[in-house]
Amino acid sequence: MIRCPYCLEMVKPKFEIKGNVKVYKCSNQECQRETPRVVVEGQIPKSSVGLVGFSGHGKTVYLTALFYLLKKLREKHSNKWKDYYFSALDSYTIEIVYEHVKKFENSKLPESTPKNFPFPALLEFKNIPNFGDWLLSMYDTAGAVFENPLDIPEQGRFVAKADVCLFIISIVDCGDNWADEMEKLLETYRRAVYDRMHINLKETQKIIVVLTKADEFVDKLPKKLADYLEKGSIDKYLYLDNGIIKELEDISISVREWLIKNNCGGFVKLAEGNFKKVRYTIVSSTGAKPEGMDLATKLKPEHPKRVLDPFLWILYEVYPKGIWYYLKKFGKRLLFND
Amino acid sequence: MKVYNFVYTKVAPEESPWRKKDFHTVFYPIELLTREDLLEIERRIYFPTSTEFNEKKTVFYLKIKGEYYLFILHINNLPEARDIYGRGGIFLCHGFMFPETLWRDFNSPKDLFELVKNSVFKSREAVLSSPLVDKATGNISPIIIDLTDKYPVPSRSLPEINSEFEKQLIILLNNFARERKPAIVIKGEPDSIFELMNKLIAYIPQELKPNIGWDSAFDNGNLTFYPLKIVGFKEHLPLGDNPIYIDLLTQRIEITQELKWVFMPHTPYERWLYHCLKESKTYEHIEQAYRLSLILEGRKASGELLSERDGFVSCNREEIINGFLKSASKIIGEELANFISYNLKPGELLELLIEDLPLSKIALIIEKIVIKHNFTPKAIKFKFSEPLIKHASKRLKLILNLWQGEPISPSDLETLRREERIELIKYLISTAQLKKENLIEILKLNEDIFDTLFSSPEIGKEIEKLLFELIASQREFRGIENFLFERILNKKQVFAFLNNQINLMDVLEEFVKDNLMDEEKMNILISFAKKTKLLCKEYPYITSFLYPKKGVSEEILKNKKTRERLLFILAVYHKYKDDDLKELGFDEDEISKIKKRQRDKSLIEKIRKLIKFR
Repeated sequence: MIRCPYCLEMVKPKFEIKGNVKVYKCSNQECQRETPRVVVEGQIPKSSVGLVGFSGHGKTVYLTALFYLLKKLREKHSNKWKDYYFSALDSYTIEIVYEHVKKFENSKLPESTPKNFPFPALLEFKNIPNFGDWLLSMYDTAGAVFENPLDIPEQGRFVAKADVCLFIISIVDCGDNWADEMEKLLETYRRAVYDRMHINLKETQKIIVVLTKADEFVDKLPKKLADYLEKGSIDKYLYLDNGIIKELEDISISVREWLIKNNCGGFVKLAEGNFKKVRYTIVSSTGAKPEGMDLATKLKPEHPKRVLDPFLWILYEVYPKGIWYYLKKFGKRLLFND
Repeated sequence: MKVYNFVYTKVAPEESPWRKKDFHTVFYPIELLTREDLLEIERRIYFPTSTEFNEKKTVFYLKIKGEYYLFILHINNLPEARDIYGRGGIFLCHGFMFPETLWRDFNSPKDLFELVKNSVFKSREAVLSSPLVDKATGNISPIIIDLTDKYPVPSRSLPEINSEFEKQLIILLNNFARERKPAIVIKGEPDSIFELMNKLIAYIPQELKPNIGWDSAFDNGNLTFYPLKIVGFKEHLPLGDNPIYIDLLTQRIEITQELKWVFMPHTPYERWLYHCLKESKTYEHIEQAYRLSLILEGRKASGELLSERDGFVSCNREEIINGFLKSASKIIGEELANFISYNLKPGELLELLIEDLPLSKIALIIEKIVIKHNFTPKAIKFKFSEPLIKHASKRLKLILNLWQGEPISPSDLETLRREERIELIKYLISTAQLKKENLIEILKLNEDIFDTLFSSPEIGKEIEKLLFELIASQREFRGIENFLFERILNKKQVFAFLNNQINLMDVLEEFVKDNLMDEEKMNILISFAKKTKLLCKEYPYITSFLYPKKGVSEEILKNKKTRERLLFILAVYHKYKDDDLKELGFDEDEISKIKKRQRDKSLIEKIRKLIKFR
């Protein structure tokens, strides 16, 4: 049994042979979509990620920037990433990776996402440093869906059933009461999923809070975070080592503290009380505020900042851990009587 | 006539009555639509982002406050428009809700759209400055259409179907309307798809129309979760749901083996469409044929039915028989339903179904079948249900009683009409279910129809048989029964004889009288008389000619012709001597003349035999 990336039901795909064509098809009668072979046969870790966030807060831009950087990492010649590559598993993903990203490379922002049922971006990663191979499905849902709790069970179902939720929020677009807005969005999502889909996110989902457009409120951030953001271009990730997670953890704690200091204690408690795990990140997908549909300057790989942090968190949170991880964790608990 | 409408787009939050900044229904009839309704409507708004797109129309039906509205969404791309973040991808959906009275009358979504075409919002500015919208409440006033004035009366004629391709699609769409599957994906320009669907939907009965809905531009859409399952695309194929692919330009249909059934007619209505498409000329024909189909499926249907039913019946023979069996079995039992279906034509069965199987009519039909085919309990081994017996006519009741062993008496027939009596008596005679005596009694009391009965070849034969048996049963006439039988027939005295107006002595008397000159017959009669003693005092001819010893009638003697004949019979057959003859009053001359004639006759006979021998 696998979870079909298109309908998200647990299914046993049917193997069909028609002439020279041999394909797997989802066994859900309502879906019956051709499932990429690697999704069915691949013995590699698989995860699904959904994006939650208000309209205009940068979900699509973040994803585009992420794919842009993931593409760029293929071209970089660092030892760590030398064997790394990824491939798009279906035509829709190919369109995102090669057409949307191309527009982004040409400094054009993606258009706003209509409230259509999303298709996932299906990517197969090979040889990610410190991790390995990975199959990722990402769902970009329209922000309008999260403004109405009634919409979430229908159009937001992809996010609700995902392993990890990227909670994308642009505090500069939340107005003066941004703490309340953050809380409101999270509460709307949580409540709709809990009440109307009977899914308890505390048991099923990890959440990564992504504060987008961080370049626009960098002056409000403590120096540590501001510096972290500033130095967070792609090159920083070329020499990825085991210390990166420690650094991410450290930043997550700092962002959390900063949020609490800025009246977001309610949000933090709500998130930590209702999800399996909560991580905090700050991101600038474009490096600077765009002008209309265009980026302020011609896009360069070093412009997006800390865009890979949420990606690494996802990897860390969902990637199966080796025995050393658990031995270390257990030993630490024993040592510190934790 | 009010046509409600709504607007779904993205405006600046301060322009929206709901202060929302993303896509949402900005204005709608707030008294009419609930939040849930809006959600359902919004689920059907799809904006194709992956292709060059200007505008399209999405059509579907949705129940609002218990009434089906026909929704036509006009979705217009606004490529130059930006949201508050400066992003493109803005579109405007102006939706129109046509009430049931209107869409049932107009039938064609295209004609309906013509009614509101001039009211369509093409820009967000036009929406916000429209007097129809109330920015404070979010309400939008309905568009008022005065149908009596400037709008033409909708056409009742069905659009013409020009090709086998379109005919195939009509069947496909009807199957879809019934089963709500499979998904249908059509490649073509949004306008062409709208035109095609507008044409095809005319052939969907109104009851099923709410199951149809289409989106003419669903490029790259996800069919799995989209409520509308008939979609068009221009460049990017929609995915999911294992659909049927249709290319409008090449008229090619791509279909898997397991979906071939969708191009075959499955209901009586679909079969009629498939085989008699040319018979359907108006929207009324569609509805009338569909109602007939519903009746066959065991459902109630009110309203006019197809008047020209020959085509419908001929392509639905099996369905009619099965439909009848299914419905009638519940009312009159399976065996009786089978019996009727076997004996009636499909057209007649359909009539019965149309009339909702009235027991009185069923009883009448059974009665007619029984009488027509002379069925008896040997052929009909099942029992009639109590309700059916209750509704049976007097005649059928008589037959049923007879089957139970209760004979029919002549008085039972008194209240029946002439034709009914004729048929019943014919039935009784043909099936020989009554004792002869009872039958004769019945015949006796129905003189007015006797000739009609007797003139029917089969029944006439049966009555003749009865007559012969009756004659033969009188032992004293054994030997001359054939004479008497033929005599009665020839003299058309059957009824008189059965009715005892004459008896066999009367018949014999007349027979003797008329056949005095027939020597062969007289010979037989005299031989009979020698063996059989009859009481014949009152019959002068019988007495004089057959039993002369009992006395010879004076009347006969007085008549020259009969006197001469009697003398001959007495002399030749009864071997009376001259003295005996003289005693009876015959003179010498008479006697010698007879003798001479006898001698001559014998001589002639001998010569004839000789010639014959030679």
